[in-house]
Amino acid sequence: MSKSDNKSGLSRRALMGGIAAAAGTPLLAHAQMVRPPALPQGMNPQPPRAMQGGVGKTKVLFITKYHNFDRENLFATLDGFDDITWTHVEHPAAANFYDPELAAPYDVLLFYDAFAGRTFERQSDGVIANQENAPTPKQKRDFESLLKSGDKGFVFFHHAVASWAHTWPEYREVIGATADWGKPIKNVRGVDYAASGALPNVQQRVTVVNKSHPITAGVEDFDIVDEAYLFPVFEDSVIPLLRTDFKPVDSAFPLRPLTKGHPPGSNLTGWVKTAERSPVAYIQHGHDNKAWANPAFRKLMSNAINWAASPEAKTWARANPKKIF
Amino acid sequence: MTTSDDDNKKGLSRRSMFGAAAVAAAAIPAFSAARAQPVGRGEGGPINSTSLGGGLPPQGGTGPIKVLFISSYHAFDRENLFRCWDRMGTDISWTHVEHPAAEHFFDPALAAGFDVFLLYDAFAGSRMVTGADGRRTRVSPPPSKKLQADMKRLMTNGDKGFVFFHHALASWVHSWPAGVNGSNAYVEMMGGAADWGTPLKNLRGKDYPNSGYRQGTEQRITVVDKAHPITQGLPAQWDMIDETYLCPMFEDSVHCLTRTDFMPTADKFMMAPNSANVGAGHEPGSNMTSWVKTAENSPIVYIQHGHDNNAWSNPYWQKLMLNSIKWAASPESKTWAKANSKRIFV
Repeated sequence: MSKSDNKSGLSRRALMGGIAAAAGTPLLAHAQMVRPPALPQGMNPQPPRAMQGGVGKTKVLFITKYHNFDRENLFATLDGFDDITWTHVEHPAAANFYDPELAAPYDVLLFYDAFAGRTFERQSDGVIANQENAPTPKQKRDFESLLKSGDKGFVFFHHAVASWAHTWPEYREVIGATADWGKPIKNVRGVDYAASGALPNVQQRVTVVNKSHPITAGVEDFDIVDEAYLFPVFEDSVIPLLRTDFKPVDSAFPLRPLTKGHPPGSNLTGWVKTAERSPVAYIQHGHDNKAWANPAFRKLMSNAINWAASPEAKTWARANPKKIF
Repeated sequence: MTTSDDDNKKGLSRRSMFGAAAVAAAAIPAFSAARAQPVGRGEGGPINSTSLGGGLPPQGGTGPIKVLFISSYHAFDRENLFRCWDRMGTDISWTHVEHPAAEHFFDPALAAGFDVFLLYDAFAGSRMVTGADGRRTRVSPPPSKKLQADMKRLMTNGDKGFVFFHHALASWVHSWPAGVNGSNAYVEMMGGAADWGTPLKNLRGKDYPNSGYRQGTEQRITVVDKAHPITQGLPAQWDMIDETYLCPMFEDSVHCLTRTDFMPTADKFMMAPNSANVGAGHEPGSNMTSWVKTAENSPIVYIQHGHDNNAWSNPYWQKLMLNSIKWAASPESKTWAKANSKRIFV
């Protein structure tokens, strides 16, 4: 290989360096005047729009798994939140962080973990089977202690509402709702529900119903294209923040026969509540980049994280504890 | 702005690179043969992976080998690397944890659910702190006593495999306490060290200037141990475009699997990306690009390749990584490690 060929591998910055050196002037001065040549495709990741993981003061533990999502765009959304530093952990590793000792360095736990408790195993016949596992006694104890400590803020969004849906009734009381789009959910506050509904790409008008809450500060009523749900929501146990004009009734989900028979649902898409002595926020929006790129969604999420981390939210939660366990 | 986007693309597109390559190929027969090998298409930026119907493998995989994938502190093209692991999904199930959360998993109790640690965590143990004047500087405090004890116990147990690749070589290089030979034990575990921004002090009694890095380097890789399970299914040689390093590697303490034809000497790193004269004053480095070794009773693999999608989309890189993970998970590698155990941690 001729070494001169290596030059074709030079990066944008090296080229800029070359340009600057040739001109004998400071690099920065030229950077402003000379548009850098485009990178060869794949020679580098795209220049990050913000530092990966962030450098903000609020420490966020970001928990995902068991539901595919557009990883890079959601990660980049979090990177763009100036106030946070976020750390990604996936299940099953993530459940270790229910332990207050392991959760100690973080201010907010941000959940996007559909189907926590579910495992997927490839059987000998090649079929992938899933199984609903109950939380371990330690996980239950840890989560309870964490909520009772009142030291952390909890933000759940979108499909996080489906975690532990079949095996941990208290968990749905923490969030204020539950969901499973694949199978019926038994005994939700004594009621059996048909499978939840999910409808992608729904054009919705969302109304801010609580304009004085810190989470809706700076957010006007907005339009969003996002996945809508029909699922059991405990309206009487939450403080509403947002409502959608989408009418969640089973007939709106014709492609989901298992949803037939589900009673009409709540049109709430955002709320706060307490769980033991901890502040909890749930935002139903956030299926894909159509939502994540929506300025109102970004503002809501960023506000929700900042609120959950705030002394005000903790003081409020301690003054209004909700016994669950 | 003096040039249009179109001009820029024409100026540096992969097509034009390969145009140049073709010219070179005509003059150098060996190069021509090498170019016939598949080279990654190198897609770059954010990709929408929401679609489940687009032929994408399930995220996280469903295979029997449980892999804990550890990253942080170094930006990378996340989606493209994640897709590499997803594509191995019939062999592996992988779980991502970032530092500092990842440090807990060296505790054997938390490691229990995993077979292989896959490390891509540059600069573990270092962090940026903002001073009173607002200036950010890097500090490298030593690992906690618990982490030190966990690491020794996990390595001594010998029931996990460890695959380090690329910039993982830069973790704990300044601050892990000395091991039995008096030198940084974490570095001894890996078999090498790198830091491109801070000189390395007192590795086996020697100080090194900043390590060198050189992105987009065209290289020919040669398999030097054709019998090892990790090199099975690989050709004797293949070509890759990837970032190379100039940094300390302990040739006498590792079993080398592959070498690059790019001989790392400081002069070649002078015009490295970011215009830093990285590697300046560095002694000539080793051209090893992968090795195996043991640490206590555990099998260790290091693969230097893997900066970006130019490497990740190369089928031979993928093969090398999957073979490494499978080997690290195998009873054979554990038996080998126990029979050839190497005391490192005090």
